[in-house]
Amino acid sequence: MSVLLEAKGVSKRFGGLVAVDTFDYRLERQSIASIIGPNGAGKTTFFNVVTGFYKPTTGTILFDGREIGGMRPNRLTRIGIGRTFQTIRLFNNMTALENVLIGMNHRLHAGVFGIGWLGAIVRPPAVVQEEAMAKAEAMELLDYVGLKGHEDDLAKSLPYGLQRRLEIARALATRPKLLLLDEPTAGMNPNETQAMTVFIRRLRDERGLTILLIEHDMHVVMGISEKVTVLDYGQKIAEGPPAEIQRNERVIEAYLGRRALEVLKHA
Amino acid sequence: MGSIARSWSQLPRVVRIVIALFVIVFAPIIIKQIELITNFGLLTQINRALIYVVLALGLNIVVGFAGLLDLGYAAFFAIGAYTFGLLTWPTHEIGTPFFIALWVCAAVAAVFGILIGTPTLRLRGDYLAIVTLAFGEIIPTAVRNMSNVTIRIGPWTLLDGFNMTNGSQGLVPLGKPDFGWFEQIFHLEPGTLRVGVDPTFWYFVIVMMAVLVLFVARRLEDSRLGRAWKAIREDETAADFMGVDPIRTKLLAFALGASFSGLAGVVFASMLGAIFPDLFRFQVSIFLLIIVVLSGMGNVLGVLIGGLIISLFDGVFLAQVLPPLFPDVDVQQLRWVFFGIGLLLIMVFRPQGLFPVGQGKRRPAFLDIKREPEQLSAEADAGIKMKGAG
Repeated sequence: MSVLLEAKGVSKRFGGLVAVDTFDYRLERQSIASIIGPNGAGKTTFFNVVTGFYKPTTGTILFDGREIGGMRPNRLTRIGIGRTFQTIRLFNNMTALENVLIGMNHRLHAGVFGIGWLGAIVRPPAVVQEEAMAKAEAMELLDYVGLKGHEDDLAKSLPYGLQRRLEIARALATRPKLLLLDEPTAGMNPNETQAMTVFIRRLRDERGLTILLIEHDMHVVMGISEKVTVLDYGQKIAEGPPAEIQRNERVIEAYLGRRALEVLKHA
Repeated sequence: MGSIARSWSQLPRVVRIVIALFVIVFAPIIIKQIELITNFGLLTQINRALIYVVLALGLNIVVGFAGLLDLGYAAFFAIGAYTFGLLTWPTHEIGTPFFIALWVCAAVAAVFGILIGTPTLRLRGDYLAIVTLAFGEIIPTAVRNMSNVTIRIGPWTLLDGFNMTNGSQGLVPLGKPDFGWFEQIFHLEPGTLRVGVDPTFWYFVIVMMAVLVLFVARRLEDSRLGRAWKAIREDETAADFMGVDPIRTKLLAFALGASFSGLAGVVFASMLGAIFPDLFRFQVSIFLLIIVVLSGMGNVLGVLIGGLIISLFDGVFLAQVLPPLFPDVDVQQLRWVFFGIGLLLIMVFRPQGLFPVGQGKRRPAFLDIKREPEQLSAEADAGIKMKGAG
């Protein structure tokens, strides 16, 4: 299996704070991997570096063999990095369908028509056809994530679990190779969490996506990840298959503290 | 109001167009009859109101669709009008035909939109508002002082003491549309159409422009570009992550909005036959913003109806109906008090505007899920979220 994403010595500093500290990371194609760690460990910062929201202070990031450090988010989306957000960031006053169509926005009028935005006013047959095709594809995606029948609902009027799914549909619409999910099961009940876990695996198996998760729910992390990476204070403290991570002393210490480790040992 | 709008939208498209045409064609006849009784110059006021509607539709693209708070929109109106002045003021001896100048001026305004937008659109919310406010002040001041322009580049003198704008005295007279060919073809006596004098003539010119602009605004709204604008308005950072280039998208909103006001500027200048820097002051920007906010941001038809009502309220009711009734009060002085009260009432009772954007199945606002403070928000969102509470 080849490597899709590779980070070499990536750091991100905010003034004196080192949020991510010389982080090395490799992500295999079509794998599911997780990054875990206590709050403030730098997980989301790493996501924001990979998706172009922050420029890495040092280090290089290769995506699909291509250096991407410093590219703007919309450029990275175009070359195949999709994401969802820790706190849902849908376009609230737009319908579910429109939200998904935004994910396709960069693929429409892709220079083929040669008339750019004028096509929006004149509406030549090519543009009409393209819009129809985009809408059909968006409907398919909504159906795929389980939002059939909700296409005309405003995003803000959807229940929480469906909003999470809509975020994924919107990210899928950008046709990502790599999908970054920032706490996809946050705020969900056990049933919803279970359904989401199954769904994430389906995304990989059916769509061939590579998936990188940030997740706090250990059932999810240990259940679907092929590789787990643990961050603490911006540094990688452990990496490996779930079973190994569960027994790792440094991980237990980072999560529960030194004393807990001693208690566990004596128990 | 809602039920009227609903039954209107349920009519077949052809029927709607026929009714609209009917209203457009017969309106001046009815208005003429009203004018005979009331002596208000009603048709002139309607023409003025329609020009404001075109301007407001342009501003609606910038503020309503893309959510960019522009407080200096009148500057583009001024640029359109003064470019027309430059091209048709007899002293300049250029004498560009009206229908060519119209498109040139719209293009020039759009170019200025891009020029102003490129450095400023990286700013968000309040900061953008401040910069555009300054721009709105700069243009009339620059115009006032451009009566003696000298441009030298090295040894070459491009312009020497060129009277470009005639300062505060303004440009008089200006070009009128030429329909001479129309009279020739139909063997009418020259001057039958009373081109550029009769408000009825202007009414039809302005209605044509308004219909064109309305059509373009509706098409844009329901397109890939309109969706991108709305996404930028809702959450610029998220839109960026979904592949929408924010700078490009916002620049297009600025340029298209500016071109609308360029068109309006030309028709306005030609109809008045005279332009002065004072016609394009800050108050014009604010007046247009009031139209867009009161009507319901982002709603094209709402801005059309709201723009007509508010402009006519201003031009007929405040300027002509009230003064004779209250001879002791200077009603014109109180003009902004009325608009201020109107804005307050709207903000309290109907923050989404008189004609809110209606789409999707709505649930009451109190059912909305409360969102946590956003992870990215500290860096990303200094912006005003320009959206109604509904």
